[in-house]
Amino acid sequence: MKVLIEAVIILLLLQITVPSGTYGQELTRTGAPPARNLLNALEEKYSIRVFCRDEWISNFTVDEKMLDLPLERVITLISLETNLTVFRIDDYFVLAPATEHHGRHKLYDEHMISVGDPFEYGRHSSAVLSGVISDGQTGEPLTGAVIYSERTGSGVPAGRQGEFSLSLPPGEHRITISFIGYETTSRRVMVYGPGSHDFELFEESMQLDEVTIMAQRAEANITRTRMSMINLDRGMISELPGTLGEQDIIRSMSLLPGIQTVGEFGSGFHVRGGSADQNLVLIEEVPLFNSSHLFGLTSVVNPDMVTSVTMTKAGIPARYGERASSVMDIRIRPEEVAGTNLTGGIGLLNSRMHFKTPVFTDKVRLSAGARSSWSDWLLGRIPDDDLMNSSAGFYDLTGTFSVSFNAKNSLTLFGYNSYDKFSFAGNTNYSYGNTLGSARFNSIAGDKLSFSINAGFSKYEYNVTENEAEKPFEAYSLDSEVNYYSLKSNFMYFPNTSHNIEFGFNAIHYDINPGTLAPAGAESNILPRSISNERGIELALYLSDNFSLTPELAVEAGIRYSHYLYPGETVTDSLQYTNNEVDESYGGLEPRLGLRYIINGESSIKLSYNRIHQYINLISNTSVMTPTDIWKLSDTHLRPLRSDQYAVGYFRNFSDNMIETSVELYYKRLHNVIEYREGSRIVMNEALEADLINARGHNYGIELFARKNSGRLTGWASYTLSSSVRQSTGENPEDQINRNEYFPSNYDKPHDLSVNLNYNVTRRWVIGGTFAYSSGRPVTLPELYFYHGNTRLVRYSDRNSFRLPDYHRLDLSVTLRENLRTDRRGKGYWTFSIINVYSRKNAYSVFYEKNDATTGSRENLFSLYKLYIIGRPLPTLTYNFTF
Amino acid sequence: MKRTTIYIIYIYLIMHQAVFTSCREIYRHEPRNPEEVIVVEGLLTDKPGPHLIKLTGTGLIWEGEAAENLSGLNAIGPTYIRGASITVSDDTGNRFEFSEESPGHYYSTPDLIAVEGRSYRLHIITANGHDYESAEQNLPGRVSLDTILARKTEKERLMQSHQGTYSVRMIPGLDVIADISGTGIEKPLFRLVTQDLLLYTQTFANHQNFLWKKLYMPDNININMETFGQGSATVKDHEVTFMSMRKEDLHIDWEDDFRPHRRVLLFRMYSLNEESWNFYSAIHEQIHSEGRLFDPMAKQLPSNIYSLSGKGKLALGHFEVSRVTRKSWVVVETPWQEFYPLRETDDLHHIPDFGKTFIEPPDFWVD
Repeated sequence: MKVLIEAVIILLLLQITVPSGTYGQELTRTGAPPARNLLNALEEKYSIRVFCRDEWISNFTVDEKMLDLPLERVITLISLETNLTVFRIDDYFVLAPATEHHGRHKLYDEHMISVGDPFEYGRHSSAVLSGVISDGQTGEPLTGAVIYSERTGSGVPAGRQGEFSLSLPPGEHRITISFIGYETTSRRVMVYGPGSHDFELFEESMQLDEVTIMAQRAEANITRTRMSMINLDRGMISELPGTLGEQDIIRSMSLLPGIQTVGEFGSGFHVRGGSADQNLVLIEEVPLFNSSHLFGLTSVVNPDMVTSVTMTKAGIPARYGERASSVMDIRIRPEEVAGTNLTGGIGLLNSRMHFKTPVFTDKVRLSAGARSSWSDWLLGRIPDDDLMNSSAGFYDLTGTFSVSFNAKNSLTLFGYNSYDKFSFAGNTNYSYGNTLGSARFNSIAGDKLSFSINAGFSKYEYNVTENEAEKPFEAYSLDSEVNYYSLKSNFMYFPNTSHNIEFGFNAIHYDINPGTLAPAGAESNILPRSISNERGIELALYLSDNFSLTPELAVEAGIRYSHYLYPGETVTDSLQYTNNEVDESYGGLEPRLGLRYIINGESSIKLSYNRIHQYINLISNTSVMTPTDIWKLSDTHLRPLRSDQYAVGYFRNFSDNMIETSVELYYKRLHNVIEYREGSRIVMNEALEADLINARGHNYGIELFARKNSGRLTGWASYTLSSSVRQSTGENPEDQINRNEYFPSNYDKPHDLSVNLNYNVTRRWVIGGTFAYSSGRPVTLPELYFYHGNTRLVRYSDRNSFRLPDYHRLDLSVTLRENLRTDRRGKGYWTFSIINVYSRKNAYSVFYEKNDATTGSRENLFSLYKLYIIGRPLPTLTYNFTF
Repeated sequence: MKRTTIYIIYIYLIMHQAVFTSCREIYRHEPRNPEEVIVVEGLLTDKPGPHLIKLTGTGLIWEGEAAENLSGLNAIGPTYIRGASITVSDDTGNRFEFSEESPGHYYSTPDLIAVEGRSYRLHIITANGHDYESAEQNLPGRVSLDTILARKTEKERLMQSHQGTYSVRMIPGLDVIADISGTGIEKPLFRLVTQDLLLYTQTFANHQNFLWKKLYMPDNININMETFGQGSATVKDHEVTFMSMRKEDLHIDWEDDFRPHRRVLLFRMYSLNEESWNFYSAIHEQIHSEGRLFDPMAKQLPSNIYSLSGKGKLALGHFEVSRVTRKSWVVVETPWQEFYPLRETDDLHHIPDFGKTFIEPPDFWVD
């Protein structure tokens, strides 16, 4: 189109300077140059018009035989001889010099290329077009570029030096030259006989928007009813900041407003002041109980496998429940692939691989991925006794198998397994793992109804083995696990174009083993002990409708009813409940509401409200989430957590949706939040509920977000100002925390700023950077010392009355994308990143440790330590590949 | 493998070693409560006085750590609070004055004895006018030590060499264990204070000397940590202490003519009410917590001392009213048996911590 416009402009210019179509004839009459006479003759012969200044063609030598040649050949010969560019619009031809203003290669595109001797036209039944395809800027040959004739449908790839040979029948062809990463170019070629011509291609990055952040509509953030929602497709996932050489989906979320981690690489994440267990992380509709490898160093989700991620912080749809703060829905559905595809990455810390292929037919697809760390191997080679005897490693395996029975029915099987182990100096060994599985049947039952049924299970288990060589009598092994079985169905009904009705049911069975203690080794004196399993059933029904009242006003209204049965066996005080006898039940309605009002095409206002009941809690009285935390069901003492969240947001896009901005305010009220008594003990505690306190909480804040979606520079910035407080309500002093005064929760970080930017220097070179800042999280620290007898003791502060130092970190990365000249099937790119560029020692945790045990000391001396994971710049290098 | 590749791997390993080994450092935070807080250590028993109320003050957490780093252990002791006016009252209106005999040490008259069925309250007015009071305390039921025995064993102990390195050694000794029960109480709550009285002889200038010294026993907060089942009021096989049989642990200046004579275990058993037991249990938990990355949050020590001067003004410590039973047991060495018999003897708590006599043994000398 641009070329056409340019041609029209030139035509108009020529109309001005050459005002009459009879000008040629006049020139003939006044002794015009031979070339003009030739053009006049051609105009008359073929009833065409040719526009050209005489001085441009004055040097062209005219042969009388030319009048016998076809029109195109004559025009081509003139253009070749005079180095003029030819434009043709119907019967109008324009011959004009290629100017810098018009862009040489653009004009050149439409230039008819002549191959072979025009005078030999008709002698050959076929002719070979040969030449070299090269980079228009660098001149480097492009190995593997394809040259293709639209007329014959045949094409050949360029060889190592960019050379090609394409056999074509004589005549006019439209030749297309393409190569990955380069702008596809189409040329008109007139083949008279065998000949050669070289072609140049130019990188796409010179003309195109480099990065597409969202595959959905650009204005979706304005028009969709839901707020506080982040949706990432595969394209955006690939643009997420890389940590340790690969995209980390869950950790990247913590760069978005309202989502935080408690410390450097802390396990789990916290949404709008909620604890980590208040987030429902679903993989293929099955919850993940621990989302972190190596205590938060990286997430357990293989990024190559993920096809989409949807994170919802407020206005949570009625189909979701179970957890009070957020839902992260990760999909790893197998995609349609033409053939077998292998992708992966080799990094210094870990490596990963993803394999997908159709099985016999394209209706059956298999996708499998694996990751494994190298850290164990590395630790064994570090010349330090403690580290050499330490181990740290993980792996995860993911697989999906999908069968499409027909266009309307399909079945997907999903399986996942992860394993982590960690030990320092060989004394205490930690290991934990997730196992997930599901079978989902999707069906389209007519034009208006579709449904899916999903049967899934999830298991999380951990083991701690303490086996100090000096204390074989105290060696023990501690196991705990949580099992989750679910049957979920979801129906979508579209009665008309303005309503989208969703309904379904969920049935969940929990089975928790809080702890089994066993001796480790023959010399151990530890007595085997086990705490009775807990069981619970959660049932839910829901109905929602997404509809528009007016074009501007849309509503998503839903209702969910959840009911919880606690038939679990537990021991509380002196009471013993028998197995399978329903001891307690809870339930309640959970209204959901979302409103959206479009102010204009660039801005909208949204409101939302949701209530959620949560019947399972992670019991963790440590400062950071650890693998040894225990999952605990609501019971007769612990009432279910209830969350009510109100949110309002203003959304505004700029520059044709290139820049998105939003402001959101939220208030979340929590009832029956679990807090901990002083010195509560969670491991192997048969009366755990007696160490816990039901408290209430208030979380509120404002979130600012801006994102640039396209252009060379892309990225986002977010800032959150928030507060998260808790309050105990007990009447007795032992049931009180800080005398029932409000105190900051463990996740209260008032200021949280994240900036993530990517700059595409060229198509291949991308520079990225991420800066994060947040207030230090609240902690309880020793404040005073005193003596009782000869024993020195410590007085700690009020709960969470101190804060860790502020957190901030800068990461930088450079990515070198695929070398497009390679003729191998495999493609790869390198990512070099530096984490913690300026050596900030951010606190992962502050903990105390008794000083070296000395004989005869009656002192109780300890030191307070700050633990940081990365205290220096950590460079990583990863090679990612695709076959 | 190419030399370059080996070189790259080596650099990488060194780099990661630097990263992973520099992962913790001493953390200092700014204490928010620089004001000294009163700490009460009060004990009233069913034995005739004088009873001691000790008043000390708190220190900022860094003072202790700095001193430990600079000057070694025990460099920082408590600061004593002087000039306070202290009384103990009972529920019948009796008031007992305490007088300060040394800085921070306040003693009652001998006629103060805790009596069963009465409740006691401590009252303190400091020199600067702050007013404190304890929660009301009752004398708990009696707990008795039913049987006691010593079993030969070996225990691990971390030993420091002259070069400063640590190693684990097996120490021969005796595990002293006891069965303890309460009379008329549901849960026998108690704490045990044990001393090891060493009787020995040494000859100087051809004169035999009779010497004694009381040795420190490692665990000075010895309480029962059992959880009691229904109808159980007996603590079986309670670990009382470990007696090292290593000569080095007797801390005697070695002479060729040193001769150990007897080891006598001195027990003071305090029966506790639940509030006092909670206090000692919290101390036990705090001092036995080694502290690690994933250890739970801090164990705050409870206090039954409250300020009357200002709401929220902090006071620490504990006022304890308990029954005390004193016993002395002679360890009879029988190296050929697994168990050493223990023979009860006269109470020897009253003798000084160390001393000697010439030519004649003292009157408490045990055969």
